[in-house]
Amino acid sequence: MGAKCKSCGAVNFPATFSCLQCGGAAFEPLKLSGKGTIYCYTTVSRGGAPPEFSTQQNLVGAYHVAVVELKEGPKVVAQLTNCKAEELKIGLPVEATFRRIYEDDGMVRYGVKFMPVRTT
Amino acid sequence: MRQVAVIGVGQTKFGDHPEASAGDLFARAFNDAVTDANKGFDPKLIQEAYVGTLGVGGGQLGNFSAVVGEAAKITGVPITRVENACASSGFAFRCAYLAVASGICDVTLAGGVEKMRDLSPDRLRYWLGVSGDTEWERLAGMTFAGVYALMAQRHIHQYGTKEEQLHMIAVKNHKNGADNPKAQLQRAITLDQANKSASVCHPLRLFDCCPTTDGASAAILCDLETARKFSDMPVRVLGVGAGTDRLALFRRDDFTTLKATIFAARQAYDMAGLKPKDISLAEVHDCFTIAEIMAYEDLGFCQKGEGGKLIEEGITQIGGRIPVNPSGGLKAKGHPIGATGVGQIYEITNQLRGKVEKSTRQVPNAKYGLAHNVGGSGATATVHILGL
Amino acid sequence: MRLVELPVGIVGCGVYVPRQRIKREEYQKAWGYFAPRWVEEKSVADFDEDPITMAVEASSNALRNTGYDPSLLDALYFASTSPPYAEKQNATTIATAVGCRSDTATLDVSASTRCGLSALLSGLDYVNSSRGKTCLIVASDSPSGQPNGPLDHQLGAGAAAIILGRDITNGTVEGSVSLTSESLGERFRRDGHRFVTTLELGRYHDAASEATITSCVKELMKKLGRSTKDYDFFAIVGVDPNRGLELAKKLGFEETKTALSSVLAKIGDTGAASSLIMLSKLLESSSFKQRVLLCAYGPGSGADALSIVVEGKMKAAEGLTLDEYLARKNYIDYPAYLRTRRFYENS
Repeated sequence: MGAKCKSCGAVNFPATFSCLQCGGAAFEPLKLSGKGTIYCYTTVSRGGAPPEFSTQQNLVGAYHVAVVELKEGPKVVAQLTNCKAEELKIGLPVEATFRRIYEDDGMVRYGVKFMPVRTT
Repeated sequence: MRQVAVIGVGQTKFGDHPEASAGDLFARAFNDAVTDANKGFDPKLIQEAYVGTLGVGGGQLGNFSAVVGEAAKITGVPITRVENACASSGFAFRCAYLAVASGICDVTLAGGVEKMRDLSPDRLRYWLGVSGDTEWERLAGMTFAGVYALMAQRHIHQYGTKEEQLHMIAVKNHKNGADNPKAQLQRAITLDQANKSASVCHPLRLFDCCPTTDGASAAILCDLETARKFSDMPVRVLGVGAGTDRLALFRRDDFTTLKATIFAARQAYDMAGLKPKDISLAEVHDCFTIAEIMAYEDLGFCQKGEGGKLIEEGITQIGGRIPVNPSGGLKAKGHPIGATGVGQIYEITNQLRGKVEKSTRQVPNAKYGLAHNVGGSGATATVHILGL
Repeated sequence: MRLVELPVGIVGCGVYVPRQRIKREEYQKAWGYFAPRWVEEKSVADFDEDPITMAVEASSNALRNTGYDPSLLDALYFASTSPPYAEKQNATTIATAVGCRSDTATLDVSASTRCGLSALLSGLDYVNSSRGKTCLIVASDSPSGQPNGPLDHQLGAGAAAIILGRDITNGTVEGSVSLTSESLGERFRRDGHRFVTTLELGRYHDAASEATITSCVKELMKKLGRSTKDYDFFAIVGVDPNRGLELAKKLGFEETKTALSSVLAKIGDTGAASSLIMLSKLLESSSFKQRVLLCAYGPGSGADALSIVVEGKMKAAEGLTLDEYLARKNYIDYPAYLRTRRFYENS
């Protein structure tokens, strides 16, 4: 759920206390499509991961993180899933999916990852 | 506002110090700074101190000021721990400067210290993620290497910068570090080695990333009048600037520049009445090689997007038009987070005085030196310009 | 004007099958054999998927297929034999992720491969009693067996969500019978243990399942006054499909009318989700009105049998049908299976 600024119309995500574009503080909720394109990305290889992701790194090796420019405007940073390094490029269309992100204090933290839009 | 000068600087070797606590390290750097004020200086003259540290390792986080006081034997005077991630001692230096410039103090101490080598990899990587946006960037799976990797990718995409140019920065800084007895890494590397090293966060490879380091640095500041009593070569602080930016990279408009650097640089140049072309040498914040390329542009040494060309053409080598990181930079000299900023002041002071440890690193006719210190992925930055 | 309350029915459905698949040949390479004859390949949840994430996908798909906004849901029921949390309601996490209101009734149903249908029956009760107008039931499962035992071989992963309401009906439940039947050892998992297991008592288990399933189905047909001729389709889940075919024949159903083992052959045993995946397939693929008898057996639990009339009018959104999910796949080998299923992780 994004927040559309009532003063300047910019869509903010995640919802913040003041609009990134104009500093305004009044918003209306806007459901986001979850679709966007890769603005930039990196592949986190051994040694580059925060400790919450040590287990993941040991299980599946290198993983990919991207800044995704959503269709509605705002940029978000999130992991990519269901993709191969070779297919990643700036501008690749991706869509949001609900996944396990990490575990902390015995609790599972769920969140959004992005994956390339596919037909096959 | 009064003119302020640096009368003495000190720095430990940067690297592994299993034998010393954070306090021990600071004491060493401080004592060297006292001795460096070569006409004789009584530490009891210090009226206030600002010391930068993130508190990664070492074990003492709260009230670190008390540790500083005991290490420098100046317990009693006001001491403040300054924290702005990797720009901590840059900001500590700024505070120490302001205290003297404003007339509140005549003599102040600025410094920094960090112990990082006493932590397990998991605990260390926790700290390497705390100065970025925790909620979104770290919990999306990135530490600094990841954030700077994203900046590198955009710089390559927007300006055609080549990955190899990133590695050239590493080669240059390792070459300089090989001639610096106080550097953590004193081994030159070849471009081929750098090009083929393991990927850390694509496109950044092993040699594009600075190491983790233990170390301490100290600088004693004084008003210019009084300074001449303690040193025959006081180094004047001519320009002072600092700035901030949004914490999370993805919230910024342009990933290829650090607005905080541009802001701080403008303030410093204006105050000093200087332009980028007047600078004889610079110590910039190359936590990752891409950061040095962006610094060339943000500090005005070249146009936006031309940073890659600058390194490729050798302009920032010692002997080039504007030597950058003659000490080896964070890349080879090391990056004890809290100590880095004042460590840059240490190098610049020595360069301006012609007193660099190895003459091969001495920049000839050094007149004005610029120190550029950045916190995290660019949320904070300081720029200081010094001259004899 | 008198307001006539529309009958409760199935508004629509949504499914989710993970992309990762492993073929029987990979098991043969790893272990020298592959236990279930009826599985060609099965679906495998990725390291960052679990019954909650799959339930969110299936539920979101059901909402997209029906055009319903999540704020219309009055209740959300979750069914699984492998819920990520034993205590901390899983349905709540799903409802929050999907965008339900805070006054949505949530319920977790577990402990048996039958519980997908049990949850569906509870959902029907919810709407029938007018506690609310619309209820979403999502069965999502990813059971695991000991890697060095035969039971794990057949266990797959998947999810299906059914929306019940009074608005449009693409299907109605004519009636149901629920039987309870205590028997031990056929398939169970103790509290605090990850792996479902079996005592492999062969004939004893067969006797129990046959008795329960046949009684349940016969009673339902008797209650509704129907015979096998009235049904266009018959499916049993909770026993392997070959056994299911045998039992169907014994009950008098023609072989042509029992199908969908082809679906299970591609995804394996999806625990509590199997029944609702079958139902979803029927809803999506029927192009004319059909009467279906669906029976879910739970070892050591009993069985639920439902008689459902599928209208044959449901259209799924593009890309979201079961067949399309089945077609989107990447094959993995056995070591990758062990890694993504976290069999190496310390518990």
